[in-house]
Amino acid sequence: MNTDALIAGLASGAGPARRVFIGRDLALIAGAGMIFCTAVSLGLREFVPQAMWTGAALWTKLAYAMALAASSAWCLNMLAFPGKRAAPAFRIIVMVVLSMADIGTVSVLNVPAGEKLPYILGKFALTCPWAIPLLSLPTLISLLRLTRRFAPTDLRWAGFAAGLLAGSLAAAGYALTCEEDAIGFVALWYSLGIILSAGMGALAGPRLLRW
Amino acid sequence: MDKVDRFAAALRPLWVRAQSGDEAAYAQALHLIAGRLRSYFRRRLSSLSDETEDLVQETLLALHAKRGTHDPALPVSNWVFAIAGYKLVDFWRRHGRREALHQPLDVTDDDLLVYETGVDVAAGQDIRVLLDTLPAPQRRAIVLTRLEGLSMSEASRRSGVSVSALKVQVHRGLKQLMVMVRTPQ
Repeated sequence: MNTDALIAGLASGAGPARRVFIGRDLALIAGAGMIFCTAVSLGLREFVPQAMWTGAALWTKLAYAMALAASSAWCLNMLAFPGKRAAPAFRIIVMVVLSMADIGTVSVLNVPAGEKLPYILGKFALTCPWAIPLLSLPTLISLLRLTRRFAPTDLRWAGFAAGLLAGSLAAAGYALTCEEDAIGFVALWYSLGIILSAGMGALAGPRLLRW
Repeated sequence: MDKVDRFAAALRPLWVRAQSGDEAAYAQALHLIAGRLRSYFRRRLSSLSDETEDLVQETLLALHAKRGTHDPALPVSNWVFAIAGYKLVDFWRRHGRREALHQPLDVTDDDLLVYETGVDVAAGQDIRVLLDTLPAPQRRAIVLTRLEGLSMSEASRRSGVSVSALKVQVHRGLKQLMVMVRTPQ
């Protein structure tokens, strides 16, 4: 087919462009993902003990997860549209992770020398980084399907942002049942779990986001 | 103003009208974009020039299907180039896979087909035999540019064929030769 004929075909009856926005669907999927992760966590384990509601650990975990979720949702919102700049959103994400690493390091330094390792490992060091990516999987798939309906042009980073968002939501749900109360534990193992989710997104992006 | 700026400035007013439903402006905008895309892709696909027009059309279809994703706050040229860049990378990825099975013609063949008298007479004769099986225009194009080593424009002047037609003839001829070399006789 020659290009002039193609253009004539596209233009005739084209009508006005209907603008599309990702925000509402993104919020819906994020909310559903958060509820799903909480429900699965509560199905498998007990709610955190009453005492933790007044401690710092639970709220640190939730604040960390929600800050990452908000910044990665913003990032994905940029990456779903051609030509929009995602760099400012990425800067916020890096700042959130670095702040958490900073708080975590300080908390480890405050622990007496002989107890540092048990403090960091806690009881669930090997559960948390696997549970978060697993929990995040359904949310990640929904987010990738949603993003694909728009026009992502950088599939790897868009996948990464989707994974980061799904992982943060999974971490928030998981935190409600996680008894670990060491900030150093959160900084290390939660971050690792969330980054694994983001890595899954980055791997899946170039395949699943093509349009 | 350079080429990209001129393109952006010409496109902007047309695009505003097109997005609000003016079909004539939309057709005009797409023509403008098609022209710009043609040179954008041609520069990046020099060895595969036949594919340029396919890619232009594919990108126009993508722009049309996704025109609701353009935010009026963003220059439309940025939006167009972001999608064109994506389509180009996607094209390379698809081709990378397919082409990996073939072996790129333009890299190996330059070494294979350089004609030096006395160096390897047998190879020279083999090439002549193979060349004789090609259609005359392709054979002439390859002899002039690859064996005699003329530049495209010199070869074009010598043979009276346009540069772009010569390129196509060389490309097709080499492809044909590769097929024959690969097929066990």
